[in-house]
Amino acid sequence: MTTSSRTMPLSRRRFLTLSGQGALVAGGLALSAGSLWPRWALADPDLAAGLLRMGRDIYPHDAIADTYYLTPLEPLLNSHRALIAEGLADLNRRARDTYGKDYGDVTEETDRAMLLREIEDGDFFQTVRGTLVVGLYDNPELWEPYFGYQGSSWQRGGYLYRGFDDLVIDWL
Amino acid sequence: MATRFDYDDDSVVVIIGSGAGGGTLAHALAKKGINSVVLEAGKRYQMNDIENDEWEMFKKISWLDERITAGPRQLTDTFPGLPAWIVKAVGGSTIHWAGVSLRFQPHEFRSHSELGDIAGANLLDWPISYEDLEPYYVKAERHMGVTGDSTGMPYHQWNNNFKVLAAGAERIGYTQLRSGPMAINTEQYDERGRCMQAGFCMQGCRFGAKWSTMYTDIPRAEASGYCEVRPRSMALTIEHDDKGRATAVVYADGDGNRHRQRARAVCVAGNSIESPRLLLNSHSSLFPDGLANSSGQVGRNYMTHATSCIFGVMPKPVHMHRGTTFAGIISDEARLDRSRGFAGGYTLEVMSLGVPFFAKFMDPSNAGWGRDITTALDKYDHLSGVWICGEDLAVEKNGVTLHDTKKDQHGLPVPIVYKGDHPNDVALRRHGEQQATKCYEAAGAERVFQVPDFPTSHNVGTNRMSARPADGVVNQWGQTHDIDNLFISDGSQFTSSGAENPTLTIVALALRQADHIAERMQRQEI
Repeated sequence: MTTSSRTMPLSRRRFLTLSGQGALVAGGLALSAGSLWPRWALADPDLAAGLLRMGRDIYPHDAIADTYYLTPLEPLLNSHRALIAEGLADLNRRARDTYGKDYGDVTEETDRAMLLREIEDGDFFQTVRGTLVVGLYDNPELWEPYFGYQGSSWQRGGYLYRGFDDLVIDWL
Repeated sequence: MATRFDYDDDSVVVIIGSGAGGGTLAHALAKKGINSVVLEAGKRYQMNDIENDEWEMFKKISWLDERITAGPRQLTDTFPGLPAWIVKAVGGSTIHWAGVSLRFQPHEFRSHSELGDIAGANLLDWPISYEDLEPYYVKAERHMGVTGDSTGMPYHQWNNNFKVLAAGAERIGYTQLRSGPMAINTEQYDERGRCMQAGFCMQGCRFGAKWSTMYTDIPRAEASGYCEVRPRSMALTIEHDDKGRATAVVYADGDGNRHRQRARAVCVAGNSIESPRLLLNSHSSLFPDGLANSSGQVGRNYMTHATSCIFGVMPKPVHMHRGTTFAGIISDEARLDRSRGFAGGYTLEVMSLGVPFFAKFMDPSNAGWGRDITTALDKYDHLSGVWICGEDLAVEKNGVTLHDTKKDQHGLPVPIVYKGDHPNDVALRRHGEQQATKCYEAAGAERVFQVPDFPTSHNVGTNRMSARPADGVVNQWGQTHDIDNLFISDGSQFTSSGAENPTLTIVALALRQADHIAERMQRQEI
């Protein structure tokens, strides 16, 4: 149906491998019955895999699970379908020209990053990035466990009695 | 209690805007028994609308009407529709401001005398001196509850973020380190509680410990019976009579219906983009270039402060998000000392951002992604940050103009906000970045990096004060040179930007203007 389903033959298995842990993917997403796959990803495994790989290359945090990248990027498959499909197809063409394989199959992050640098001024890249910079970092589930950011504090009386001045500078 | 004035009541002062300038003025006039109608473009929010959530509050209270960022600066690319981060709500940007309440230094009122002619700059002395304003600074500090001598409230305890910056600053020889003055209560004051060190000052203070007209001046003015505040009322044009006196303000209410509020005097306090825009949009056959614009200076000399942020990754968790957002001030570089290679000075102000805004602002350029970015974010809880608040020189071509064809939801031309750096701004910023970097290196930072300008909250200068009508828009009282009963009551009056946050000076000027307006009314001159 899309260009990318012809030019980007990423298998469902490949997508799951990329996802790392199916259970984590399942954690934050709406599932179709009896499957670990979210409906939209089931419909568009290639696009989903491409977006996920791209999201992880744009804001790489090794310890953050795929679901936190996929969930905010999902709506782009509806809202910007052509842009995403064409953008990923173009990225694959560039990858094949340079590395002889699709973007998602390029193993080194630095090599993939080089490909993304070429397109970083374009709408496709900045749409994905602009979506993710909010969707990934404005997720309270990640704040404290991953970044040490505690989010809303007023309901706990702020930090007056909870460490606003607890730092001892003992390293100098 | 809710006073309602008639549209045809021409005895009222119409005040446009309810922030530091307009809100303060309405309250000060009410105390003198002078009636006013405040037209506020934004909605009215309650304390429980204030959330500790950066994006939610940004979406809720920011001025997001279409604006065009222009000029040779990164912001033109990174935030093309958001030149300024200011508020559209009852209370204006006093909801968002961080509370730093520094007075201007005496020499900053004498820009041209002190600095002389600087090529490319449009420097001018204020028509008032520090000594003229000093009593009003004291009044403003008491009014707002500024920690320090005027109120007797102690400064805040140093939070972690400031401790880190201060440790480095002391090692490189800085001595003027303070955790105030701030208009954030450290104890019960003015019927408001003390700071709970919640963070999120720029999202609005949920506890009301930070001064804001939202929950002080505005409700008190309304309670007096002398003031009616009309939220969701966007001023469109100021009308005048044959003699060139302001007579009324036409505005659109929240449903888009137009009204004409007649006025004895009009005070414009819509912040430095909307205030000149309103004057320009009010052009007429008598004033073809816009109201009060015989000098041609309306909308010009837009200043934002020369700024940048420096962040250091420290060896241990700092938790910069805990406690007041702008928690400490270093004033060693605020002095005038041209041996540093630039005119004017800058204040170093410790600052924090939450994860959402840090991620957004760290490098908003197209290239701001990848491991360089995420390795800093991975260390979020080890970060300490400082903001450079540097004097920005007046440059005539920096300013607000009207777009030829683009119109907003009210059919008014969209403002174009043009700003480029004067070479002095570049030199000052570079010096500030070097010094801030030295501070963090001296404090043992493992990595130091720079965060570029984000949409500015300090917007001043576009209706500047001048002694001579040819040089500026208003006189020393904020009264326009051209129209006796038309006043400017916000930061757009500033003749220079200083190295200090503008709010305290806006409030001092508004209190001073209120005295003047009352006297003139008493003498039947307005």
